[in-house]
Amino acid sequence: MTKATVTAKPGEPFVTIERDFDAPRDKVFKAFTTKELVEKWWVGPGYKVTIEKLEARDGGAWKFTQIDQEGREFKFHGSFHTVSPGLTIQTFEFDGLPEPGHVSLDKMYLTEKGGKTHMRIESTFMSVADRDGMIASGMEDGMQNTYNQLDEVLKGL
Amino acid sequence: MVEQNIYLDNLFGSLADPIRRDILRRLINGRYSIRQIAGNYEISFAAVAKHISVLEKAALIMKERKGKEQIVSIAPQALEDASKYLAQYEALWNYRFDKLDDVLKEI
Repeated sequence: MTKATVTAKPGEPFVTIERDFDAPRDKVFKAFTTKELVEKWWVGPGYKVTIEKLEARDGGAWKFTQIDQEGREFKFHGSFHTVSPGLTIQTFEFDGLPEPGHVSLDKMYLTEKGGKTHMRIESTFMSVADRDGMIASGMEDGMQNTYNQLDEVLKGL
Repeated sequence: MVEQNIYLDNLFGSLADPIRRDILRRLINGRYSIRQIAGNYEISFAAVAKHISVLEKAALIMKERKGKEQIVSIAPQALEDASKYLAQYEALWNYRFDKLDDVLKEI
């Protein structure tokens, strides 16, 4: 099975995700830019996604809500700067942080070769701490709790 | 594929104090005495020793007596936890892309 390659180097505010898909570029692009299709795959173990807005065009906006099994909602939004099959540039922000302004800029390159498509997403964060926070947010609750507990332990010492 | 031992920033991102984060980053590269670590900072030796004690209580580092010196090293568990965070992030994307493979078959 094809696996994604995630690269996050220490001390740098970047994450790169690469993956090959056994489909032509137009189809992959469609699966990234069509509301009904994104709702099928932008999910995670134990949560689904509702897409309020997905205006996949230059200057458009997007707004997603993740809902976990306890019904808790996590909202995300951003803007599209450039949308094309070869290159899409957009911003990404998690709305659940104590203060707004932790935005990342994502560039997605799709290249087709022999009917298959290579995807490369380059995310640039505003700081290393923002990047690390984003990686941590992908964790299951149990890990998040461990993380919070560690924080509490350190505060109390 | 996860690049090994480089996701420590993620783990350390939860640590509030920049000096403690800096101490941990230095310890990724090797073992040092408290005196050697303290030499990197303008704050007092006692203040650095206190930071090290905080990190030790959180099980992120270990102290070992060698003659008159105390040698500090990073705890293996801390390294393991850090790479676990990234592995889980990668697992999330693999979960999504496997679903995307299914979507691509349907359209």
